[in-house]
Amino acid sequence: MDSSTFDRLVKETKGWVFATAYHILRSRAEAEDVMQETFLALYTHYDTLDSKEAVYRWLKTVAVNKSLNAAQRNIFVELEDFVAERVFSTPDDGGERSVYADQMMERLQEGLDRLSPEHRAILLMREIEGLSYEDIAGKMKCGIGTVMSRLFYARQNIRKFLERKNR
Amino acid sequence: MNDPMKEKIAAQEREFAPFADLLKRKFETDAARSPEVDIAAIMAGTLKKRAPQRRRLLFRPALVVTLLLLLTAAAALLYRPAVAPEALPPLPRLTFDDAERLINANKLEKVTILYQSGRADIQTDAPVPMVWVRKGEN
Repeated sequence: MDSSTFDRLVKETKGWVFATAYHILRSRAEAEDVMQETFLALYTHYDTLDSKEAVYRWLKTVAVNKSLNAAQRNIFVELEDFVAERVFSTPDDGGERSVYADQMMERLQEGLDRLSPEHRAILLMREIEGLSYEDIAGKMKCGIGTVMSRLFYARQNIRKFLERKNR
Repeated sequence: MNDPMKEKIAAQEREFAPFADLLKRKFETDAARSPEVDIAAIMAGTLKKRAPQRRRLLFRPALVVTLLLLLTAAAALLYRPAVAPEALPPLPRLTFDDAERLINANKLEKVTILYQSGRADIQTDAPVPMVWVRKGEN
C-alpha cells in the first residue's frame, strides 16, 4: 500500500478506531496502543481486503477484538494505567461545551466504567454501530440470547446509574 | 424468543434512546480527541508501544515493591506467633533428683513427660515449668 493511501485511510478512521478502543478499555493509554496495533495490522493485511467497505468492516472488527484482548491483560497494566490516568492526567481541552454536558459525559463515563469490557463492546455495536443482534452474536462468537441479556443488563445499569446520579 | 421477552427488550430500547444519544455524543467527542497514529513507524516496521511503555517503566518497579511490602506485612501478620518467644522467661532445668524431690513434696501440680532423642523431658506448669532427666533414670 502506498503512503498516501494509508495516510488517507488513517485520517478517515483513526477517530472511530480510537473511540471504539477507549469505549471498551476506558484507558486512553491502552486505547492508543490498540489504535496503533490496529493500523499496523491493517498495513500488513491491506492487500487481502478488496474494497473500501471491506477495509472499514475489517477495521471495526479488529478494533473491537484487539480491545477485548487488551482488556484481558494482566492486572499490572490496569493498575498502572489507573494510577497514571487518575493521578497524572491533565484535563482535555473541551472547547465551548456546557457545564451540564460535561457533567453528563463524566457521569456516563463513570457508568461505563462499571460495566465489563464485553458489555461495553456489545453496547457499542448495538447503540453506536447499529448492528443487528445476529451480527453482534457473530462478532462476539456467542448466542443471540447472550447478546440480548448482556445488552439488557448494560442498558439497565447505565440508565439506573445516570438516573441515580441526576437526582 | 417469546413475545413478552421481545416486547420487554423493545420497550427498553425505546426508553434507552436518550441515553443512546448521549453515548453517541460521547463516542464522537472521544473520536475527535484521538491521538495521532505513528504512520511512519508503522510503514517502517518499527512501531513500539509508546505512552504505556514509558509509564510501565516508571510504575512497574514501584508497584512491585509496594505489592511485595504488602505481601510481607500480610504474611508477618498471619504467621506471627501468639506470644513472642523473647517475651517468655527462660525455662529452668532441674536434675532428676531435684524434680523427684519437688514431686514428692507435692510442689508440682502436673507433670508431663516428653521423650526426645535419648532424653526424657518432664514439663510442668507449676511451680517449675520444666525439668529434664536422662532416659531410664525415672
